[in-house]
Amino acid sequence: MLRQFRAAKIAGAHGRVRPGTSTFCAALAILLFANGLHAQPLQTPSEPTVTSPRLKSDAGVAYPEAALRARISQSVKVDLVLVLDTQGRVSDAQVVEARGHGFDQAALEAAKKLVFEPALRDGRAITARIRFRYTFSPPSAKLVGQVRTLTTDSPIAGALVSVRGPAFGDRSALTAADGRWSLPDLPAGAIHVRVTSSGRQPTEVDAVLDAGGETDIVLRLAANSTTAAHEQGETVITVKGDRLPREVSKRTLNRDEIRHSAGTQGDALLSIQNLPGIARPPPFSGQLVVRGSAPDDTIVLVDGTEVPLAYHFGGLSSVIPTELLEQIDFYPGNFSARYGRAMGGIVEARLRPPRVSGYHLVIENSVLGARGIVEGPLGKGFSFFAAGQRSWLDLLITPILKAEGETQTALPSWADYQLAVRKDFNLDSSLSVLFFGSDDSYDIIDPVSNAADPGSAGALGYHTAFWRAQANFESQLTSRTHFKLTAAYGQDRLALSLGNNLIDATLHPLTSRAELSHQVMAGLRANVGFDLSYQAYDFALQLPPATRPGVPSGGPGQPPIRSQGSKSLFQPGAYAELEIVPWTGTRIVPGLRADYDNAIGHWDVAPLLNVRQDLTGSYPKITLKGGAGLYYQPPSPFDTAPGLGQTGLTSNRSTHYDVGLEQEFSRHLELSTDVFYKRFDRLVMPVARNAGSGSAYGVEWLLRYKADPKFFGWVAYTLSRSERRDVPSEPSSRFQFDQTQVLTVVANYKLGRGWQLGGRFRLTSGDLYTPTSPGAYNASAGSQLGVAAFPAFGARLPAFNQLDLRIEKTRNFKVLRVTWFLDVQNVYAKNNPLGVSYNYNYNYTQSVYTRGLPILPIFGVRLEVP
Amino acid sequence: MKARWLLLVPLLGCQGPNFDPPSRIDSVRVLATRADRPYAAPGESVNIEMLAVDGRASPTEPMRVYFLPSPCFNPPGDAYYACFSGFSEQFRRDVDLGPVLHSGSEFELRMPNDVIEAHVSTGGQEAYGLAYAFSVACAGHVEYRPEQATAAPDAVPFGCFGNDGHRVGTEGFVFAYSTVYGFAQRRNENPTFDSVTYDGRVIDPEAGLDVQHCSKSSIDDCPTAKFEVNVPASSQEPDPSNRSAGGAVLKESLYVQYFSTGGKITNDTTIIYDARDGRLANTGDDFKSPLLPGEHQFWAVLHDNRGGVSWQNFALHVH
Repeated sequence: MLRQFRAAKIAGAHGRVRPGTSTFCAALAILLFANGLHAQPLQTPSEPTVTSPRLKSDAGVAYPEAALRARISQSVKVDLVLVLDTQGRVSDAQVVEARGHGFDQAALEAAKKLVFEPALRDGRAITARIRFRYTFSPPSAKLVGQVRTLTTDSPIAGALVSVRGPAFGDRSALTAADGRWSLPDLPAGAIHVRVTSSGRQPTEVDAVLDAGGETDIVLRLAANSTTAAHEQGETVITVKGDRLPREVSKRTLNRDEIRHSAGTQGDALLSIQNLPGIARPPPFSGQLVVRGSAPDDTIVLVDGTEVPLAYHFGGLSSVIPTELLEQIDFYPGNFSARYGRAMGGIVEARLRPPRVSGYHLVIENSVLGARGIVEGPLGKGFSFFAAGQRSWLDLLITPILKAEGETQTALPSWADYQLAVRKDFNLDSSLSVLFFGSDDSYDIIDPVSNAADPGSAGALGYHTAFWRAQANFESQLTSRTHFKLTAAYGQDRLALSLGNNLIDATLHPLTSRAELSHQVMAGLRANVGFDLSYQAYDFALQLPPATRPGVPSGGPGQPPIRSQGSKSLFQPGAYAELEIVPWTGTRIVPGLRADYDNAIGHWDVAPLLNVRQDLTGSYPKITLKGGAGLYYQPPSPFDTAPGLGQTGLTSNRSTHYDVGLEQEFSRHLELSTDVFYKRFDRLVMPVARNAGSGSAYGVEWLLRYKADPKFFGWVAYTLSRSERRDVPSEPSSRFQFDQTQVLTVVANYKLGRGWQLGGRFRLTSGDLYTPTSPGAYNASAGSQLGVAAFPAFGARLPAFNQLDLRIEKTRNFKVLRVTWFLDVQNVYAKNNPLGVSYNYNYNYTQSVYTRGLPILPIFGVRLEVP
Repeated sequence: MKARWLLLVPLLGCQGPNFDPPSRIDSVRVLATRADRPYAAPGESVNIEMLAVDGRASPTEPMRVYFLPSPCFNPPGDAYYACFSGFSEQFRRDVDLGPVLHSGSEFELRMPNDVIEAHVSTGGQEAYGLAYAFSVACAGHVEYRPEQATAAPDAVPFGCFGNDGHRVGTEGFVFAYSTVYGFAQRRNENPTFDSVTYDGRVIDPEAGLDVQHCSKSSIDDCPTAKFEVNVPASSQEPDPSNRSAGGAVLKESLYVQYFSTGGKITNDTTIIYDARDGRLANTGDDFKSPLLPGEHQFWAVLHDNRGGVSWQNFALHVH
């Protein structure tokens, strides 16, 4: 496990400097220098009486700045020869032996301010020459810091901070509730710091204290086992507005918030939908609509490898179990140059390493399905996890329907699986191999043929699946350089069928991603990388034919036409990025990305810039952020497939702008505001090539109460508009996925004794749809045509609202932890309209709303062997 | 260890809507049009006959049927609605078009001599020409009412209006089009009926069909009997434009549509002959007698997929 160490040294001796100790040797040598007086030999009882000068006032001297800047922290003596006048003032001063680094000048200037009682001879003041020594002692240093958790960055109270130095032995302090501690008055020089906390791995670090300075250290502690972070509630969803690599504008949801939020069944990827900037997904789909972009504009990655979908059919479950996630990074826009070929948002799920502290088992079962995880060490630095999930609905309900004589069985089924083996070479390097995949099916089997059109009778089938075999190598090459390499191979399959009509596509993606990150100097880090995708694909289509000569369109019985083909896509990309911190509180990240697509034979070069500025240096923090960038998305394989797509295409393009403010009101309450604007052009349109354009703009708010021992919750609100124009000659109109307002309120309260109650309320604008009215009747074929309103999506369904509640009870036994939960979606059974169905086979004069699921209770049990 | 679980089966509230079936005739309807030559040679005349019925129980105005006087030839993209732009030159807005429309259920169009040469070929197809004839059934008078410029291109530019000026809805207005292809050599004959049977008995179109009414409280509980359409195999002609993967010429597909002013038909449309498989089995359609005795009408309209049409109509005597 890598440790993190950050030290910010506040240099400067001007803050609190103790006066340098000065001593002088009284009468080390008395040089009598009198105007016109000559030394006289000592005389007999008649000889003169000499009194040495006596120091009356000494303003002291500061340890010179130059010496502090040069990081000199030892005691330094400067000897001077002073000439005193008859008033006792210093009329001249000379340095006996120069010490440099400002010590000499400081001593001379301080000596001029010395005031003595003048030397006396027989009671009369005389001039005198004396030796005087200044001893400069370095000012003490102050060591302050904070102790936080490694993954969630939460403060740790009660941690013991022990500091050892050669000059002072051991000093220690305990962290306060906010994780902070301080040790003043430490001698400058090298120190060794060790931090321990119950349930966590200790951390040690060496540092150097500067004299007169304040050194600030932030130390992050990992949980006891390398994989126990999730046990401590440290699976993180990080929402990054204009996210800057390795320095984020964080909206963090910890595992408690994910697991106990109502309506998402403890699914981390589903929890993203509760955040601002994401529209309510289309009915029964797991599509992500991010800031007015089409679902296909957002890409999902698992450990750097793109996967075709994040959610199973119906959007009821994601393809990666929450228990295996270490972190989810969600970028709604203005994302880093390391991501390309997307115009919407980025969702990157990072899997955690397998746990090595013994073997562990989790089994969860609910009305939707069952899943299990097993993991543990394999010895010699190896560890593994194996997990899987399978839905129940089709297995349980189909036999019931058949037994009752139903001829139609229509229920979805889904499954996913993950297997990982990891080798930790040392704390800095690791290699992991991961195999994972997902499989969704939805089949309607109707043995009664549709005599009206046998071509569309018999079966409706929907099948999507993917798998990946992936290897990840990561290494901290030096203290300044980090390297990461990912390579993966897999398969994506999409098969849709309706009777004799079908779409069947199979892709074989081979991808690789690498990044080298180097700290060039203080305040400057450079990141360079490449991102390569090679996809061979083949497809088969069997669709109703286009018009044939002599055959009127419309009417049943038209045999489908089959076409098939294969092709490959080669899409290399490279990027470079700088993280510039010119001064504390300011961060500037310029980036540049280039992508190529062999299907269009064109390079796309995209610059971007993100900036953050802290308006306050410490709590309560206020941060201003902004960004602008160009983002390209190549045409899809179907857009360029031979015989199916078009030639002469270029990439779709989008320009992102984002300005935001993050503000803390208290330790738990924070508000985040983002104003965004996206402009789309060169959008690929059927027949019209890159004639499409559009825009999306809006405001997002997230008012969040971060988890305390009893409660967490947030209010997310998005006000936005998304428009498109298919061709320049047409007017702009609302985009299909436009949702003007999206309000989500989430709250969870721990009742005690293992009981928790949570709720989620959503109020959103209704979906857009295209009204249809009666058109002409095709009397030759006997079919009625409908007229779709123009422009499309010009009407909006009534607003959507839904309340979900969750209650759970956890009980710990000796070797087992059991959690019962009841997750009720749509508590008050609101019949939200999700679409419009017309009597299309007649005259389109009748219509009804199609409705979503009614009240849906999901009861389940979770067993954990910790 | 085995977890106990409790199954709560959610009822997926996705019931299909109960729309009126298209086989039920209770309004002004155009059921079909028949061209005596679905494929015509350049210069040939084609007679088009319209089957329009008024199924309204209490009509306030009689149904009138018209054809637009000028057929449309070879519109861009072969799209029927591409002909709409030419109507602005033929018709004035907001006036009764009755005097300028061709009244009646029959219409004759003549294929231009250059109908094939004038057609813009999309490549890779046998040369042909295309003609559209437009017809209207209206319980009132017809007016030309094009939509605004932003309207969908296929929005019907005509409306039917009553004497009081109100716009008649779909219960009293149908706008239809018929397609006639121009081929130099290719021909297409209209399919023919051998017979229509009910419960195995051949129906005499002149005499009609006698059935008993259903005495149940709901028609869905009524017993069924089958209508069957018998079509000679000779009606399924070869279709040169429909070829198998090996290049063999396949045939037309034939399907029948049923309409009735009373009772309930299970399937409104049934395929009788498949292009590859020929005559299909089990092509009968269940029929439920009306709940009340009375006189009704029944139609069986036979199509081939190349525009050929024929129909049979008989009275339904419900006792």
